[in-house]
Amino acid sequence: MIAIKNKYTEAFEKLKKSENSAEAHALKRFQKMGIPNRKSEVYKYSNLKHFKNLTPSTEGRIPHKLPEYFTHQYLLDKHLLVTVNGVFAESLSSYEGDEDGIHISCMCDARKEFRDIVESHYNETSTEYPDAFSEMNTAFAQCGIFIYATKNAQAKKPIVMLHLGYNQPKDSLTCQRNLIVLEQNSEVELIEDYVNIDKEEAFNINHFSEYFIKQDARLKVNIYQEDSNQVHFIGNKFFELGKGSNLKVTTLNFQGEFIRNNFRVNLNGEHGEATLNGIFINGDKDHTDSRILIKHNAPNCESFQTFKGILDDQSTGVFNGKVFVAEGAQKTNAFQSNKNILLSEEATINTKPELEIYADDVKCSHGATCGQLDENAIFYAQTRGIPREKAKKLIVFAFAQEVIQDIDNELFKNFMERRLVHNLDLAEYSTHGSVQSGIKE
Amino acid sequence: MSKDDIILEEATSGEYKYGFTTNIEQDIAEIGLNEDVVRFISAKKNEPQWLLDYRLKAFAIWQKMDEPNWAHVKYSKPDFQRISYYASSKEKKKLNSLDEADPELLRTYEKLGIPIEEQKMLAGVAVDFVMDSESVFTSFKKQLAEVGIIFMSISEAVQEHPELVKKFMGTVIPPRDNFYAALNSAVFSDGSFVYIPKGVRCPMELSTYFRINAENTGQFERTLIIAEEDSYVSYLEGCTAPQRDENQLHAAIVELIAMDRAEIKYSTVQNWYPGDKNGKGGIFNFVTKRGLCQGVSSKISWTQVETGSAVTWKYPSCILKGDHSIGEFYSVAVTNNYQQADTGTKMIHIGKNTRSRIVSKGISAGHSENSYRGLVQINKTAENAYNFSQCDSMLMGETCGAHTFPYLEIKNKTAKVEHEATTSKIGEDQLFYCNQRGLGDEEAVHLIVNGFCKEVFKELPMEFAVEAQKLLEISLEGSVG
Repeated sequence: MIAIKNKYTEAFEKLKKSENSAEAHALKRFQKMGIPNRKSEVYKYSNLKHFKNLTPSTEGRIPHKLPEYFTHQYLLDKHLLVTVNGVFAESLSSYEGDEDGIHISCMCDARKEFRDIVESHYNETSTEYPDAFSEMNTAFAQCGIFIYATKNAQAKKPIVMLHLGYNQPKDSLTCQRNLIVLEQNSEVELIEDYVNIDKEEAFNINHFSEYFIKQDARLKVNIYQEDSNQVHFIGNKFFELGKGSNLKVTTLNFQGEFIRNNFRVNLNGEHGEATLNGIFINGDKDHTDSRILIKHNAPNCESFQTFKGILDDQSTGVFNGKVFVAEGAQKTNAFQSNKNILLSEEATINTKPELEIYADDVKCSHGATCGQLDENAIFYAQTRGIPREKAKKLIVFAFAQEVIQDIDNELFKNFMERRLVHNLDLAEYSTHGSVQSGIKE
Repeated sequence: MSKDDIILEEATSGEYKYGFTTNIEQDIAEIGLNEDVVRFISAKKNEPQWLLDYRLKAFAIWQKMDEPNWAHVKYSKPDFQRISYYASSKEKKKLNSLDEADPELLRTYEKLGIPIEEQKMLAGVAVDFVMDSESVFTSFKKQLAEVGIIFMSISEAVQEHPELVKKFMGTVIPPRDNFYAALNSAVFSDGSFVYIPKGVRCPMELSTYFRINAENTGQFERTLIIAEEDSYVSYLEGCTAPQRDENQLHAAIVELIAMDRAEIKYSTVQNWYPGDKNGKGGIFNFVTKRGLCQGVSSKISWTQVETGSAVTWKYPSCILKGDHSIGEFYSVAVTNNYQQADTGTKMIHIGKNTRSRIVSKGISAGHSENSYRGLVQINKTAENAYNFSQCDSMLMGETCGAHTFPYLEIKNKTAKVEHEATTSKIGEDQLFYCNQRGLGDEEAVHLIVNGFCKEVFKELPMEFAVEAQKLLEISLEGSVG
């Protein structure tokens, strides 16, 4: 225990923060909690042993030279924001700031230019349920991305946030921190993508984003994680929703050695609506853990969760979704569904859909299922001349489609479909054709 | 106050009807818990050395354990040094008929509205009364003995059938299982022992009425039921307790073992004192119940109607070890005033083609908290396992809570697991429909609540089903809004 404390304290000293800074306090809180073990209910099914050996990175700079890297082409007209090892890399990004009333900058600049906004929002979401990783992130946060949509602003193009990992020292952990604030009646669409361009070392990320969606504002977030190189990801994404606001999050995980997504949504004003969809396809020894907490703090709000998992080889999956309805949050409508398919003898799924309800006039339901592919369906496809292996994949494709179909952005949806076709090797049955895994940007 | 609120108010103010105390001289162990108390209990019951060793070992384990706090309940933890761990009625003469029984006892039963003769005649129920910790009355023993069934208190069984008790006790719930199981293993007082031999179908429903009687006396019942190959037994457990102001602790253990093709049906109606309407007093019910489907095609079915206790912490479980074995759990849990219940089940699938079914209905009113917590675990070896779970909650009023915490852990791809849960209140349209047809609000609510619980009630044996409905009405009296 002492050794661990020293490691973090030593790293923190390099940051040269004063003892009274918010960062120093966060560090203290983190050290008190330590890296959670499996006795903690919140991390019951995820083994964090790997993270115990990591030291938070304090580099704060982007590498001089990046190798040529490949990334997925979205065929989109977009604002592109790139971070390298958690730090916003303006030189690699291409965006038009302020044009649509959307301000984009790095966190460090935002602290000066938008001091009031940052001060009144930054780290405001982390106090409700203290989490070791969000505290660690606050202490060691790199200079991430700040997005501010002014009142009535509408982003014409989606904003793509491409998070790269490269040349991290061995056993280091990148603490990435973003802040996104949408003022009244504004609208933004985000696509977040994580890529490790380092073939040698694993990309370890402790990601923490806070999203504030004010009255009548609308936010869409598409999160896409697919990487054949090693990625160990812990992500906390906390959303605060105002009156009449709307949030839609879609998570697509096609590969990843260790992925934990922790979504927390607070519906603080009446008539707010939150939709969280997700799908993961795991192979090898992949582990994907999705934890969702939706808090209905105000009446007349709606929330929907649809999460699907496909597990092959020795992979494991976790779904832990919770709907919390506070006292007085009447006329709540909450729905939660989790469906899983196990394709191999060795795969494991742990699912825990929870309801915690303190108001009586509500409609809340959840469902969870786990099964295997339907033999009848496979047989049906076989009788029509589709080989058995392909038939199985076609059924998996159909299973995954429910989540992908629900993506609003047509171009991104098509891209996802093509990725799915590619991953399942179904090109010959697709009208889209397949996309190669790396197209040079 | 709207009409609904008034009905609610009335409903929630229904006082516990069964609160009274019977004065029978008690033989009470010194208050507090240490090794000597364990030895005292063992000596008092004239137990063999192996059982004393078992108790002492459990006590050592318990001392190293911490009280669990993961359940969704809040209460001030009992002071284990302020409880007396042994209380038994002093008079111990054997009874041949009810006439010889203590009239005081008989009066107690009368107040409970369970005329024993009538029950005897009507239902052919053998009743094994457990007045506090020791059984004072066992009936129908002879009839059962004719078919080879052993039905007696566990302390008698220790004397008469030590080999059976020694072989099976603690095999399903070992002392280290949890805090309260360890405590029970160390200080268990008495309980029922049932052994159904090979091929025997128990000719009647076996039944035990538990009552908690002495003040400051924790009850540590221990029940063990063994069903040999091809046998069948249905066991009923029912509880009411007198009114007390101080919280009383009840930490029982129930172990069921079903061999090849055997079936055990275990039904509970629990109506212990839930505390008054301000949340004062009431029983702490921390029970460990588990059944082992040891044999091929064996079946264990739990049915429970929980209306009492201030705090309930109870998960009747099934370990489906034998191939083709079946586990079932049917539950109605009603909480009112400041009651808290965290209850559910665990279905552990180990054998091939095992099936389980969970139906849980929770009703919360007043300021109560009602949680379903369940685990369905499909292990690697459990080919073609199937589970279906349904958890419905009904909320009455704005100040109560209903929660669902299901855990599904699946390690076999051939498993089929389905879980669904809903939470809602009684619809105004439903009430209106009933009103239209001439039913008052209260009747309408009873009708709707009974319909809500019907799926579980129909699993109860006849006599119990009637009692359960009555209890439900009392619990939510005038009230169910």
